[in-house]
Amino acid sequence: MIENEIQKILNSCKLIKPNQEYTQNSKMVILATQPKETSPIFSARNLFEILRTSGVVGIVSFLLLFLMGGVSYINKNFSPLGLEGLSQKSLITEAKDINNSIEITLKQIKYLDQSNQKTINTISEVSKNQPIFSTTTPAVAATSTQSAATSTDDISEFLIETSTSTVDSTDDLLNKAAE
Amino acid sequence: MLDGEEKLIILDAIGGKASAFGLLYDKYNGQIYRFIYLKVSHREEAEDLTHQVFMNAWQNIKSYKIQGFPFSSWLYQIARNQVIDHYRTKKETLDIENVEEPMTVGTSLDEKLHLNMEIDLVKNAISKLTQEQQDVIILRFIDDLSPKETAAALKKPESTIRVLQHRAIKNLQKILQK
Repeated sequence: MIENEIQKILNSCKLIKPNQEYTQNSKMVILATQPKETSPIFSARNLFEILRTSGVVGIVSFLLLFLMGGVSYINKNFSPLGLEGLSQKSLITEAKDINNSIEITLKQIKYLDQSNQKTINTISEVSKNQPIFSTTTPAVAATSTQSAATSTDDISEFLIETSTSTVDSTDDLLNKAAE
Repeated sequence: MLDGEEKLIILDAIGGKASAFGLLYDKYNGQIYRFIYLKVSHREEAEDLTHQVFMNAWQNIKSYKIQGFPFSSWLYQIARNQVIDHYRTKKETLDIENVEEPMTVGTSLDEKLHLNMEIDLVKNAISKLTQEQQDVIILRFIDDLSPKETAAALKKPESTIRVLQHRAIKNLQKILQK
């Protein structure tokens, strides 16, 4: 069967018409009602439009960000704030500074420890030798005797404390020296 | 496509003017009824569904946006959804042989009988097509919509409509040749 014949048969369907009485009744019923009022803000269509627009804007801004080289590149070159937490160079410099300050502190501790040790040694040597008092001035002798008596007690005041272990060992040595 | 006069009528209807919607009803009622009738094959059901389509259209006329497509595209979309819902909720199926004769325009009884036979033949053949092919055949060859208008009514690209149309005609040929 050729297409024209199908077309002829289909054309016969164009003569299908609804009942006039039904048409009139239906029309009257429909037009007697009022159309729904649509809320311009909360309608589903508006919500969909808002979501669609925000989605498009989000994707476009992400792509722009991606094309421009990412957050670190923008922060490095364009950002007026210049967030240091995001800059690699500033982080490296900061880490170096911290390292240097730690090294300096360690050197100081080492130096103080050595000087403490020297002082202890000197004191112990002095304490081993007998003190020689001059007979010329009894006041000086008295003071020197007093100083000899008090010297070992006050030494700890002149020592710089480094760590608890060092202080303990110094105390022991001083006690021995006093004995 | 929309002509200037129809656009004004639609704008009046959107504004809530019942007489304007009445004009649209008069213009498209026949087409929508025919479309539904050929899909449900039952006069009363087609009338009920057509009534529901226009009721929905009038109730939601304020959400209608003029986008350059004919007003009928929107009505066909509502009609399609209505038919789908109808089949979804309908429990029992009708035998095509027991379907009532449609209301046709004819002069003599002979002519009417001949017409009704042809319509039955078409209905039978169309009912064996897929839903999409049915829609394309009815809109393109019975309601005389252009491919663009059909595409708008079925929410499909024009190229898809052309493919569907080609397949539908081939299938119709096979069915009618049997």
